Amino acid sequence: MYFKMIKVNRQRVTASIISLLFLVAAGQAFAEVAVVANKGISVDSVTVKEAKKIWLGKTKSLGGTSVKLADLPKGNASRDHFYTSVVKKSEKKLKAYWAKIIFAGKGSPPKTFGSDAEVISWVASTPGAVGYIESAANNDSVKVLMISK
Amino acid sequence: MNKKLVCLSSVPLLSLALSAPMALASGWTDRTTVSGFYSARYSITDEAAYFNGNRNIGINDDGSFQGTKLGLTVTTQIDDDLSVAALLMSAADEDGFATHVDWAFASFRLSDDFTLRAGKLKFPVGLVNEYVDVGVTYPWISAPILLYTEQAAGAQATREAYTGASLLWESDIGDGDWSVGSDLFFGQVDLENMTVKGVLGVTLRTTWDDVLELQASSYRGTMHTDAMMNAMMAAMDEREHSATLLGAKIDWNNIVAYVEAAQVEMDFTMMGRTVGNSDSWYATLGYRMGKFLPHVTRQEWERDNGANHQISTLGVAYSLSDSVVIKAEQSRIETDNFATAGSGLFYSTPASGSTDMTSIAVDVIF
Repeated sequence: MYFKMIKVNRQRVTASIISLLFLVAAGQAFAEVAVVANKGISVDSVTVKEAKKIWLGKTKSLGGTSVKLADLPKGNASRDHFYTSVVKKSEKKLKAYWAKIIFAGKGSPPKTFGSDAEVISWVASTPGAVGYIESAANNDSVKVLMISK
Repeated sequence: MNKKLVCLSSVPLLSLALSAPMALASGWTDRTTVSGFYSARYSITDEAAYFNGNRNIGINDDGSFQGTKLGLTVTTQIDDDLSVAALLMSAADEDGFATHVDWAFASFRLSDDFTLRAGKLKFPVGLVNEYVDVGVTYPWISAPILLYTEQAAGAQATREAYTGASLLWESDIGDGDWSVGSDLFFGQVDLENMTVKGVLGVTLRTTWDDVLELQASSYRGTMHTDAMMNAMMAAMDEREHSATLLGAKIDWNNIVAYVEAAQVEMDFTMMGRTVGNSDSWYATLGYRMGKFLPHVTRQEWERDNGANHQISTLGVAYSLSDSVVIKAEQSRIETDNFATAGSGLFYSTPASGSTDMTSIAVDVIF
């Protein structure tokens, strides 16, 4: 009986560990992305459509402040989520979209940073700056305008 | 919430570590972006007469690297509303591999929707003309030449650049997928033996996401020829040059299509005939299959005096990555009436009315 209980418990523990691993994996795959802004921007929230227009360079100011955009590098999970779910453009289409603007001299693409921490640091210290980060990386130095799940 | 608390403890340290170099780099270098493009091209025909240029750069049966080029754009944001930008380009042309300032201008944002620009600007006429040297942005090796050439022997529907000013309006309708805009421009176009002065024009455009783009342009100016040109074509001096263009581009699911037409009028006659007026158009249809984009194009151009070309092209563009595209094309250039109405874009009279051209290219942006 004692050995049987231990066997059952082992099975439960194994099942629990597997479940936990799945949860962690799911959490990684569906990490929330937060659109964050410099606290000087008077706007407190944006919609998905508004965020799309901002990152395509169509919306040039928020609450009267000129926006400056931050990006994460290609291959970053938050970037993949942001451009798939919010901007809804593939990397190839995005590259072609900005090429037409850059080489016509009509604008510059978002500034690319290496990590969430770098984005937060730049957004916090740059008037008009907006960026997106994994929401778990957020701190109180910037304000959240939108969460994309 | 817990996740947030765990990460909060590490972020301030990272922020502190990164803020020092960021602060040091907050000068003009921090506000300047540099981007570039490169194209390597090779074309060969089965005809001894040079096509689209003289013996230095034109394409004939000896082959040509015409279209090979390197471009660098530099954009500096002076403040929230003022920026300056320039494109330096080295291209294989009639002078060898010469470097020139393709465009250089200042932009002042008047409001969210209006921008005033002044300097040497890209001519905003033609669907792809503002980025016509950047091959990655379109499926062809070169933008359709019967509409996009500014050679005196061709359509002259659009130009490379003008010096002057532009009032740009860009806005969007509803939730932002529909964009509308206009470009009201004024200035002069400097060509090798001619200056087109008092150029006044407008381009209207609308786009729906990446799917549909419609564009209409109209402009006029007065041609002023130099002494050398006057010796040959005095009739052109101080006469009006005008053009109207309509274009549409569709990129829907896997279908890529372009159609564009231009009507050009040059108000002068030679031996009682208007020789500068011409009509040109092209249509392209492509179907994206993974990384491959096979496409067909038909182009036609005809002047009032009967000079004409028709070009049919079968091509394929292969995307090696988001930034590199390899292209190959086979074209047939047909020319009627060349014995009586001139040889059009051929530098001298071709041996026959049908010329085959093979071209390969690599286009890169960085």
